[in-house]
Amino acid sequence: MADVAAINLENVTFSYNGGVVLDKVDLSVAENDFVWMVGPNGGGKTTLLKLVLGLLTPDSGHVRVFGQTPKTMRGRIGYMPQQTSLDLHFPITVMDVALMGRLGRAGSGGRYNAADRKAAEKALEQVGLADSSGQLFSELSGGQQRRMYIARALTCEPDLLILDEPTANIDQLLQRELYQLLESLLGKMTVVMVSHDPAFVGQFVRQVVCVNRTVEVHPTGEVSSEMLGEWYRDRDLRIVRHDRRFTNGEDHA
Amino acid sequence: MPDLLSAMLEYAFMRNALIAGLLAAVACGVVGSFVVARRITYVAGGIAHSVLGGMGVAGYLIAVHNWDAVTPLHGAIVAALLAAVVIGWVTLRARQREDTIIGAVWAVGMATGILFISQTPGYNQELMSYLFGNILMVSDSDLSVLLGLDLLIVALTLLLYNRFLAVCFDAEFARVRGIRVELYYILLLCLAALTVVVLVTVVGVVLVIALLTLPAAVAGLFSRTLRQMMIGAVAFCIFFIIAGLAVSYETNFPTGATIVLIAGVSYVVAIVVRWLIRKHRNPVSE
Repeated sequence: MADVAAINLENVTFSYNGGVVLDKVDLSVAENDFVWMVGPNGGGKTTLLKLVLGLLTPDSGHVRVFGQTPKTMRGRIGYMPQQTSLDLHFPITVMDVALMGRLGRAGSGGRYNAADRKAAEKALEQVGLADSSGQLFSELSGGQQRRMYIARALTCEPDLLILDEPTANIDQLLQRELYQLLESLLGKMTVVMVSHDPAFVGQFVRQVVCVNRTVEVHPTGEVSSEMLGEWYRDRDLRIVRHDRRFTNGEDHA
Repeated sequence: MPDLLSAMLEYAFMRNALIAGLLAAVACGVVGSFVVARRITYVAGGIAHSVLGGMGVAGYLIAVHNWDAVTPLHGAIVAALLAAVVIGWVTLRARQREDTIIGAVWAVGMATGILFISQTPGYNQELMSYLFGNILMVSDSDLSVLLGLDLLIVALTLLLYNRFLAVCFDAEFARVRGIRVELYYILLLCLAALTVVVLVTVVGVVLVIALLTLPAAVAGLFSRTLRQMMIGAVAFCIFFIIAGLAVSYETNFPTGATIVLIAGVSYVVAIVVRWLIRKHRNPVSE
């Protein structure tokens, strides 16, 4: 059992309406690894994550999470989506959203108990939203919303944490706190994080996974943090900037 | 109001009307809040109008084939559930345009009803009471069906509240947490369908949507969470129905229309009141 990879993709191909998004992808992420996932927008990062979550099924190939199908392992995965098309005026508090991470856990027959509340409170504290737990979702800023989604993923108390662009819309100070939080998770769970921001990740990331229709893996042993920055900039500067402008624009909307 | 009270004591049909109204208010507040929060008023509208088909078919079977055990209310339940499952299934599975399907169910249901009512012998006064409701005609057996529906709706909502909330708020995340999103969405539509049936007895097919959404909308103006919204919506719905009964008793106006108009006026008043409260609290930003 010790050798079971947290994530294992074998020869995975996936296409949307005939357009190939991922082409014969192999990827293995060991348990308790920290993986930084990069690549241009539309390169298939989110698709890859959704395959791991079992939200999408590959055209061919196998996806395994802790050696099993993603659907059976969902209880062990915490997920923070990149963009949500949620109704901003939905009448719900931050605490209620965080508690959703406890859904579907064995033993909780649809009702939350004291342990569930404790886990949600702890997660909100970790992302600095402890004081906002009673606030309405609609009252949060864009950055606070991102943090709420991270808290919801942490509330799952996952073995595999999947974060799709957690740093988008978060200001510098909070970004630093977020990376401290991620650093504190090192070795405790497997973390896969999509981010366009190489600044902090280079310090403790163990594997860099570049997704652009195919997947290339660079262990950090081979890539120093300076090289990483260079490499990332050379490859993706244009795309990254374009993407930043896009998310900023959305934040103001 | 004193007149209404003495009428209650004197006439069984007035007592039945009040009990039906109270039962309707409970289902309406609880499920109406989900409908408003999830923005599926149009789905509820489609279900409501398809109910006419069920009542028409039931009425035909009673008159022509002597199906004595059946009442129009039974037909309404079957039609509403069928419409809910069709709309839910088609939107989730077949990925058809949701509004097109809802529009089709809406009109096909009504057309079926009109066809069967036209073929039912005898003078069809019932069409008007199906369309616009007749709370003064609620029978004792109707009341027991309404009570059963109410208990079912409230029990399921209490039991599955967190799942319904998650499916309504963020279906994708709920799915990742292993919640069977399709099942719960269709179940929620079925609860909406049963609520529609309860409300049809009060205000009729055409006016159901107003009674399903207005109390929740008014409550939504003054509440922060779905739970508060539900409690408020039940209270407002009870108020609208009792006020409507009282006014229509005094004036001899049609009860369903009176209830809906009171609800509509209250909604406008509530918006103004909230605006004034906010202006008072926060004079600079508004």
